[in-house]
Amino acid sequence: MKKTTNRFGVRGGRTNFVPIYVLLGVVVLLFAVLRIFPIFKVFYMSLFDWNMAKGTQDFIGFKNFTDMFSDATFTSAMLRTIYIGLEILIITVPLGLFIANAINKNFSRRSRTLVQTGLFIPYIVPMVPTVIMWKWLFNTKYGLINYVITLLGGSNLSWLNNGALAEQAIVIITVWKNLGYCVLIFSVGLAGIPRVYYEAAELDGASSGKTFWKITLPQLRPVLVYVSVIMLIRGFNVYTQAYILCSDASGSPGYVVRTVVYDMVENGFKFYKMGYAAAEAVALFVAMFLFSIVQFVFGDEERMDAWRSKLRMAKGR
Amino acid sequence: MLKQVRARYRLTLSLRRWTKTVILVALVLIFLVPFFYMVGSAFKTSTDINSYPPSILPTEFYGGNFQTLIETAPFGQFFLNSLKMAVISAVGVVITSALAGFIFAKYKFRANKLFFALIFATSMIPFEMYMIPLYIDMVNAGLGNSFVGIVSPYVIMSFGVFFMRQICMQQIPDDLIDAARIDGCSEIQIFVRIVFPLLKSAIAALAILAFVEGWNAFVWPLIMAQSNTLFTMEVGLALFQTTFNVDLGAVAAGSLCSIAPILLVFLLFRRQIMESIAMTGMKG
Repeated sequence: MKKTTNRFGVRGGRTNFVPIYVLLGVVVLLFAVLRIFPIFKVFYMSLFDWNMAKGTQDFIGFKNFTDMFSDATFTSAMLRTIYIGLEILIITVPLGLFIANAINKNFSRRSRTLVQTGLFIPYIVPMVPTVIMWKWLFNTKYGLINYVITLLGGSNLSWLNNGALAEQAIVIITVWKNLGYCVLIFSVGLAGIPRVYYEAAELDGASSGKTFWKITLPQLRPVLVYVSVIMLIRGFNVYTQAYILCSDASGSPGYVVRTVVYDMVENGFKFYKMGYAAAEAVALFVAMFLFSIVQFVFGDEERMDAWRSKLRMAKGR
Repeated sequence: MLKQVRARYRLTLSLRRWTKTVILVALVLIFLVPFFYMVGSAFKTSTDINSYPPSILPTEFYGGNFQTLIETAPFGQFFLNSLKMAVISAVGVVITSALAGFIFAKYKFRANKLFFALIFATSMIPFEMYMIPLYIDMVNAGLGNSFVGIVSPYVIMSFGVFFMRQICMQQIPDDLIDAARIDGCSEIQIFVRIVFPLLKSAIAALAILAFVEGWNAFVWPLIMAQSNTLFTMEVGLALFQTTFNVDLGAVAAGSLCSIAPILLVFLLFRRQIMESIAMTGMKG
């Protein structure tokens, strides 16, 4: 019998596979050089006193990390970043879910698209001009936001000079920018839940609240975990917002709200302390990793529950 | 009688629907106020911008901000740099992603799963994590402060490989490839002449996404570009707005120039962009 597959498992044994694998090799090489090696190298570099200005590359073990955690600038930046990241997460995800659920249930196709599109515009446009616009809206003297606050009977807030308020400004901008993304992904997730579940719930006379907690939320769990992890990563990497918002001719940028990425860029590209900056990146990565794991565990626990109850049903209760 | 009741019912229904739509549109417009404010400011005089109470619309239409913008800094050059970056990013991402995605989907070889897993895993690592080693590698390769160095990280996209692999699995039948092979096509011909044209709509969606990502890039060009001939719109704007005695009208005009192309692309290809992002949830 004629052999129909070659050793690559592709039919037509005589074809020459070398050129196409060479091309794949080029793409894989690009990924290796531009993504994979740098990712490993950041861990390696964090163990060195790697100064680009002096040209030193001395192995110092974990000294960068011990230095870092005794440096108040870094520790406060880290705590601030975690705080900002978590705040962004716990506002964006529930709000996005609420909006997606509302428009999915009550709205016509056209108004659903209208809301999705409107909320999505901030997500797609570049960050720099977006934050510049917000910077003016937050302006203490002439800003639209303070104007509205005074109209409502409040007093002017110095959004950009007060650390705590500037943090909130960053959170507001980031939530505003990412809300449309959450709504879109949640809408797709909601559309994927089989209608029969809701019909059954309706037959049983379940309240809409109960339907949400018992059907929508468990069914949406994987999407929820995915979006939460993405939002957390974005929140932990806040940089542009701090760079633009907290800079002007009189103050150095990012001084009011120093995030980890901001501190990292400054140490790396202003003071050329590359090893130290790499160590900061590693610390941020570890923080993101730990918080993501927490989210995955939450997601998985529920999925296991669903699986267990399915098993119970299959066995006949 | 019944007819009247029914008519009134229909009227209240349509009235309710109309109020709902009006409220909805109003809420969406409020959400987008920052954009209106920016567009308005781009056409305000400098006294108009610093007037109180603030207004969204200019009191008189003033076009001089754009001229000031170009006179203060080479924003025409910045715009072209951004455009170049976005176009090269779109072309590069499409070629590398379609090629790798097709091979991962249709060829069996030992390292297939490993390579794909490695590439896919990088999609969850934010760029800020590894930009420092990448920067050092670029400088060591002699590409510091060069356009090639700025654009090269943007010619690949791990999400693109994933997306294309998925599409090839769904849309390219194995028999078609075999038939082409029997007809004497080489593997590269199969990809260029048969697979690539079949992926047209997916490629268009990916190209748009890559264009947007290339245009929106900020941190990497900021740290890479030292000379202002290499600045993109984003970098130019960020540095311009921190300078002393900055003309706010000009900054608004620059912001408008930076947002307008993306807004245009989005309004033209809204469905494709939202669908492809929704498909797997692209990272930002």
